Amino acid sequence: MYDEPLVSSLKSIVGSDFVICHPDDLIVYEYDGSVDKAIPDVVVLPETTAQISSILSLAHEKNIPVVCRGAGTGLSGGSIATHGGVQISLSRMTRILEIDPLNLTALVEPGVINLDITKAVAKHSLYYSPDPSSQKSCTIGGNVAENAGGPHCLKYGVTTNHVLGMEVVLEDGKVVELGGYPEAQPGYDLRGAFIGGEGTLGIATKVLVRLSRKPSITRTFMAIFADLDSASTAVTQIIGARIVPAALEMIDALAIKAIENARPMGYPRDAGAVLLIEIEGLAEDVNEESEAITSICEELGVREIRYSELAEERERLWAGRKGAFAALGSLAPNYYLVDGVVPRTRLPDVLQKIAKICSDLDLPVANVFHAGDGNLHPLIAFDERQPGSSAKALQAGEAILELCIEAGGVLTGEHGVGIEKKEYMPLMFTPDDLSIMKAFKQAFSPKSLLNPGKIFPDGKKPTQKASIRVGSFSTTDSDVWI
Amino acid sequence: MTISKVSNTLLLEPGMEDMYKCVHCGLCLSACPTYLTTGREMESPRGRIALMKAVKESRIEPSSRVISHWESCLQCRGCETACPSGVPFGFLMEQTKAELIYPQKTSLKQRFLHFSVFKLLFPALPLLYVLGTLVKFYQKSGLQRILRSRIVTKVAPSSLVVLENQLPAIKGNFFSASTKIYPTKEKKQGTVGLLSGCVMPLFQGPIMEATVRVLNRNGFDVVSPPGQGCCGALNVHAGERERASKMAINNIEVFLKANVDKILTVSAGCGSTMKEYQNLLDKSSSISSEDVSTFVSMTQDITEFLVSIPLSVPKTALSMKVTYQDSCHLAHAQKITKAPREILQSIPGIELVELKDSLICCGAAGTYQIVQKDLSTKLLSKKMATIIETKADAVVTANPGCIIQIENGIKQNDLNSPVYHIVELLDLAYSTESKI
Amino acid sequence: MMSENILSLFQDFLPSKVLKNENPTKYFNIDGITPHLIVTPENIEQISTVLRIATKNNLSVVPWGGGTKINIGNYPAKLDIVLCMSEMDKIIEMHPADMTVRVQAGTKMESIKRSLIKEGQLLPLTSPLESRATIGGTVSANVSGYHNLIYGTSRDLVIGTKFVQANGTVAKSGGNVVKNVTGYDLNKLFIGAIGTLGILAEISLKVIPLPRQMQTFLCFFSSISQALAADTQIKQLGLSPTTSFILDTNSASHVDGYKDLFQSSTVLATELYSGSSGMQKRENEMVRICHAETNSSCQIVDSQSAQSLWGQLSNFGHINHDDSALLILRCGLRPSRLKQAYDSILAELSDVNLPISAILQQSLGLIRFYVWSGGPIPTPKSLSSLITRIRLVMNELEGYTVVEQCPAETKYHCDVWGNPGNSLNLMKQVKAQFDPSSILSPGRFIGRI
Repeated sequence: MYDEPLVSSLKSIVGSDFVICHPDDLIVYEYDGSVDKAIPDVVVLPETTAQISSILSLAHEKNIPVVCRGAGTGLSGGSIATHGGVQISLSRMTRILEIDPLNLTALVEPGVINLDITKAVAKHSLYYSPDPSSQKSCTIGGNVAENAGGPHCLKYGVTTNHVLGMEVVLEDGKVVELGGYPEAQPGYDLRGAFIGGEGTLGIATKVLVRLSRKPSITRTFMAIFADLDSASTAVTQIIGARIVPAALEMIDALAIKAIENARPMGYPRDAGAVLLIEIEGLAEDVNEESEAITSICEELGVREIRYSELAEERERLWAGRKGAFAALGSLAPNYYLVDGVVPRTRLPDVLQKIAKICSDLDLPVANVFHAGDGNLHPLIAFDERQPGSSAKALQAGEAILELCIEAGGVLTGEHGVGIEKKEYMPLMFTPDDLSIMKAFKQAFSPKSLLNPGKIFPDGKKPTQKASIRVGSFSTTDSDVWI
Repeated sequence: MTISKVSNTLLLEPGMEDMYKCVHCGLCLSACPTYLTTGREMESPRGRIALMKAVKESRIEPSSRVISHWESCLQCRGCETACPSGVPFGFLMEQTKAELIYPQKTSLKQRFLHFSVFKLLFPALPLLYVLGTLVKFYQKSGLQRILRSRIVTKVAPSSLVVLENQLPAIKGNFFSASTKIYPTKEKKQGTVGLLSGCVMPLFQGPIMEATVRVLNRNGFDVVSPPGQGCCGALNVHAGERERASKMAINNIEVFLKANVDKILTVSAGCGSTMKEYQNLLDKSSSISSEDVSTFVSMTQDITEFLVSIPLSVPKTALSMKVTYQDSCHLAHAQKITKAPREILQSIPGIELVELKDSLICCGAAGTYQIVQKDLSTKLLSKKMATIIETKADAVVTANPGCIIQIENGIKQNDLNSPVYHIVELLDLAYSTESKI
Repeated sequence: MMSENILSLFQDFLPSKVLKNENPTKYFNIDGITPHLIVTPENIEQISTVLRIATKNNLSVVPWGGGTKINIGNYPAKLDIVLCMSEMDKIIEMHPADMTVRVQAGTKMESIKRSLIKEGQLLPLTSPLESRATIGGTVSANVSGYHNLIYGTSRDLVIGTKFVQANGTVAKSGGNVVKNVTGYDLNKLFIGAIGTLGILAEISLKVIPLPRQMQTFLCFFSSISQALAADTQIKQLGLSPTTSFILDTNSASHVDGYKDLFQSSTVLATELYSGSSGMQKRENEMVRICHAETNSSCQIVDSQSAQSLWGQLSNFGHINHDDSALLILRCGLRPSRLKQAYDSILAELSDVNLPISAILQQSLGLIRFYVWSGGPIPTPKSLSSLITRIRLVMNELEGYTVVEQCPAETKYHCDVWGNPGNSLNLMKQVKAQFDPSSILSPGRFIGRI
C-alpha cells in the first residue's frame, strides 16, 4: 500500500529526508531481533515530541496503525508492523537532555542506547542499573516498552524499578506526563502500568531514569560443582544465609561440555554445573559474605572455587558464561532460545523435565540461566535442514512453556509476549484476566491503532518457523548474555 | 520479479552463505558510524546484509538505491567486533561490491575515478610517484597559494575545490622500497621487512623513516625489498578483487624472498588486507597456499610487533597529554586495541586520555572521504567534538588515512594540535634520549 | 435507599453472619460519613457477589482493611457499603526459599511479618498500627513506612494480585515469581488507588532476607543544612541506610521518650544495615561525619528503643496516635530543593498561630509538615487557603502537595490530592474502564475520581 497523501503529509511533518517509503528501503524495516517479519507501509524518523504528536494525530484521523521501533533488538517481535501502516523509528531521538547527579536522575530521549546512559554518568560514579544482554545497542524506549531485565536485576530490579516517569504521546496525539519525580506522585501509577506495555499504549518520548551509585567493591565467584543438585542447593543456602547476590547464574553440564569443546575455560568435562556469583558493597560486608559463600560451597563439596574483584579477572571468570552462547554451536547449527520463569526452588525438577521433553524428541538442550530468580533460558539445538526438525524444536518449546506454568511460573521473564507468545497467553490467563487487560488498553488507545496484533491471542498462529527465535550459531567468541 | 543475472552471481559466490549467519539481533547498530549518523536501518550493517539477502533471494533488484546503501559503508568493520554471531561483514561487503557495484559503475565521474585509482595508480607505483612529485611541487612552489586565491576558487568547479582542500600535505621525503638495508646500532635481534606500500611512502615519508629508526633502536635491521607494491586494500574494498589478487601474489613473492623474520606494516589498512590474503587467493591462483599462509603468519602491525619483542622503554620523559583514536582496520579487522595503548603508556611522561567512541570511524576510510563527502564530513565533525573534549595536546592514531582525516579536522577547527602516528611519538621519545 | 432495603438485597445471596447493618458510626466512619451496610466476606466469591449486586443497584462500596489509613483521600461522594476485609486474613502460600509469599488482602501486617520472621525473612513495608493494618490497605494506600531506601515500596514488592472488578468479575495480574513481563503490569494500578479500581483479594509479594545487622543512629545538628549534608554523605559512602529521617527542632516535643534528648536540635535518625563485621566501620564513619559537620557526636539506639522510635516516626502525628496533628502535608520534590522548600513553606506558615514542625526524608524527596493543635483552630476555609498557598510554593519548585490528614470539614473546600497534571483525563478513562458506574470508593481519589 502506497498512500501518496499520507506520505506527503508525513514529509511535511518531519521533512522529506526522514520519510522512507521506497520498497527497496522498507524491506530492512521488516525485522527486529526475533524472526517474525512484516514490512511497514512507510517509516518515519521524527526528531521531536511535537513531530510524533503530529504523526499520531494524522494516523488517528486516517485510522492507520502505528508501530514504534527503537534499535530493533527485541526478541518477541514487538516492533514488527504486522498490520502494516506507519513505523516510527526513534533512532534520531538520541539526546541525553539532562543529567542530575545531585538527585540521581537523567532525562533522556527514547532512542538513547541503554549503555550510553551509564557511559554518560560514569564520571559521577553513577550508573543505570538494568542491563539487558543487548545493552550496547538497545534503546531506553524499547526497554520501557518491554520492561527489560538483565543478569543484575536479581538484586536491583528491572526497568520499572528504575524509571521514574516519562512523557508519552497517546494514540490521538495528545501529550501527557506519567509519573515523575519524586515517587509516589498522587494519582494512579500509570507510569508503572505503561512500562512493559509493549508499545500498545503510547509512545514514550522522554524518559526520566533513576541512577544508582557504583558499589565500592564488586567480587565475582566461579564455583564448579560435580552435579546440578549440589549447585542448586548452594543457591538455596546462599539465599538462606541472607545474602542477595547482585547476580547468580548457572551453567549446566551440557553447556559446560560445549564450552570446553569450543573454547576451553578449564572446567572439568565431567562437571555437573558451574555457578557464577557476584556480590557488591563495602569491603567489610563483601569479605564476610565471601566467607559465607565459600564455606557453603565447600561444605557441598565444590570442586573448585575462584574469585576476584579486579575488573579484568572478573571478566575472565565471566568468560565461560558469556561465551556459552557461541560455544553451544558445536551441538547443532540452529537454536531455539526459550524464555520462561519458574519459582527458583522448582529449578532442579523443571530442568530434569526439560531434559526429558527434549530427549524424547531427540533434541539436545543446554541451560545457561539466571538461577537467582528462576528465569530459564533453555537453548534447544536443532538442524533446520533436517525435515521436521524445526517443528520438533517448536513442539519442545511449547511443552517447556506449559511446564513453566504448571510449576507455578510465567511465560516470559524478560523478552515480552509480542507476537511470539500471544497465542500462549491463555495458558496463564483466563478470558476475564485478558479482558481487563484489554479494557485497560482501551483507556489509552480506544482505536487500538498502536502496535496492533501483539500481546493478545487472536488465533493467528504465526508460521512455524517465524514463531520461534531461530538462529545459526557462530564459532567466534560471543559477548551475548542469554 | 525476475532473477537478474547479477544476483545469480551473488548467489553462487563461495562464502556468501555466511550472510545467513546474521540473525539480525541488532548488536552491530551502535558500532556502525553511518547508522549512528543517519539513524537509517539501510545504512547499518544489519540493513546492508538484509539488502544482500533480499537481492540474493530475488525479492528486490540491486537498484542504484540499494547500491547506494552499500556504497555508504565505510568498511570500518566496527560491526564485526560487535557481532556475536561471527558474521564476516568485511568479506561480505567486499564480495558484494565486487559482484554488484563494480560492474555497475555508471557515471562517468565514478568510472574515471575508479579507473584512475584502482587500475592506473595503485597497481603501478611509478605512476603514483610521478603524481606525488607533481603534487609536492604544487604545494611547495607556491602554486597552491596562487590557486587558492579567491579568483581561482570562484571559477573552478566546486568539487575540484573540495578535493583540492582535502589534498594532504606531503611531508618530508618520499620513502621507497630498495635493496638498501637499514642496520641497527644496538645488539641485533633480527631482521624485519617493512611494507613501503603506496600512499604511505609518498605522503607520509617521515612516518616510514621514524619506523625505521624505532625498529633500529630496538635491535632490528630493516629492509623494504624492491619490487613490492601496494597491498591491494583499496582495490579489495572497492570490489576490485581480480587486480588485488595479482598485487597480493607479487607481494608474497617479494617478501618471502627477502629473508626476513617478520613482515611489518605501519598502515592498519594494509595489515588487515595482508592478513586476509587467504580470502583473496583461491586454489586456482598461481601461488601455493603454504606460501600464502607463511606470509600471513609473518605479517604483523608495527604496534603488535613492538609490544611482543618487548619494547625498549624510552629513557626520557615526553611530557604530553595525548588521546588515541583506534584505527578501524587495526581495532576491528585485526582486533588490536591494547598494543597501541600499552606502547603509549610505556613512554614516560605521556598521559593517555581515552577518547569517547574511539572505536567509531573518523570517516577517512580510504577513498570514502572523497566519494561520500557528506557522511565523511559529518563523521569527522562528530570525531572532532570528542577530540576537543579530551583537551589533549596531541592526537595519536595508527593509520595514514586516519591521520590525514584528523589533520583536516584540526585544520577546519582552527586548532594546532599535532596528529601523530604512534611510531612517530615513540621516535620522538627515543630522539630526545639521544640528546642527553 | 434505607439501610434495611439495602440489607434485603443481599440477604438471599450471602449468609447472614457476613452482613451487618447496626449503626456502625463509632468505628466504620469515613470523614464523618457512615455506611448503611457492613459486609465481611469470607471468600472471593462473596466479594464478587457483593459487587455484582452493588453494581446492579448502583450502591457504592468502600473496601476497609484495618481502617488505619481510611481517612486519606477526599470525602466519599457516596457511602452505602463498607466491605470489611477482616475475615480474609489467611496466608495462602509461603515459599521462603523462593522469597515470595501469597496472602489474602485482609491479612494483618503483623501476622505476615511474624510468619516471615520465623523463616528469617522480612516484608519491608511498615504501616502505622501493624496489629490492625492489613496488607491490602497498606498497598492500596501505598504506605511504605521506613525501609524504603533500600527495598523500595509496594511498587517494587507486589508481584501479583487477584482482584474483583466492580461488576463482580474476578481477574488477576502478574504471578508468583519475582521476574515476569507477561501481559500488562496491572498490579501497579492498584497500588495507591485506595480501592477505586477494584477490590484486592489476594496479593503476591517479594520478600527479603532479614538483614544480618541493623543499627539505628541518632545525630544532632544545629541546622537543617548540616543534617542534609550528613545525610548525603551517608549515602555517598555506601553505608547502606534503610531509612533516614531529619526532624526539625520543633518535632522534638512530639517524640515520646526523646523529648529531652532531641530538645532544640535538628536530629538525623538513620538505620544502617550490614553484615556482622561491617557495622564497626559504619560506626566509625558515622562518628567521623558528625564530627566533621558540627563537632557533634552521634548516638546508637538499642534495638528495642529503635523499634519504638521508628514506630513513632512512621506514625508521626497520625490520627490514631495520642498526639495527633491537625494537618499533615506531604510535599514531594527534588531532594536538592528540599531546603528551599522547607524555608519557603515555613515562611508561608508563619502567620498560622499554631505549632508547626517538619520531618524531611531527603533521598525520597519528601517533607512532611505537621500543624498541631494548641491554639484557636482555624476555620476549614482558612486551612484550605493555607493549603492553596503552600501548593503555589510547591508548584514553583516543581513539586506536589498531598494533604495526608486534616479535619473532615476542610475536605469540602479542597482536593486533598492537589493538581492532577495532564494525565487526569487518562486516569478518568482507566477508572471508567474498570468501574464504569463508579461504585468503588466514589469521589475519594484525585480529581474526585
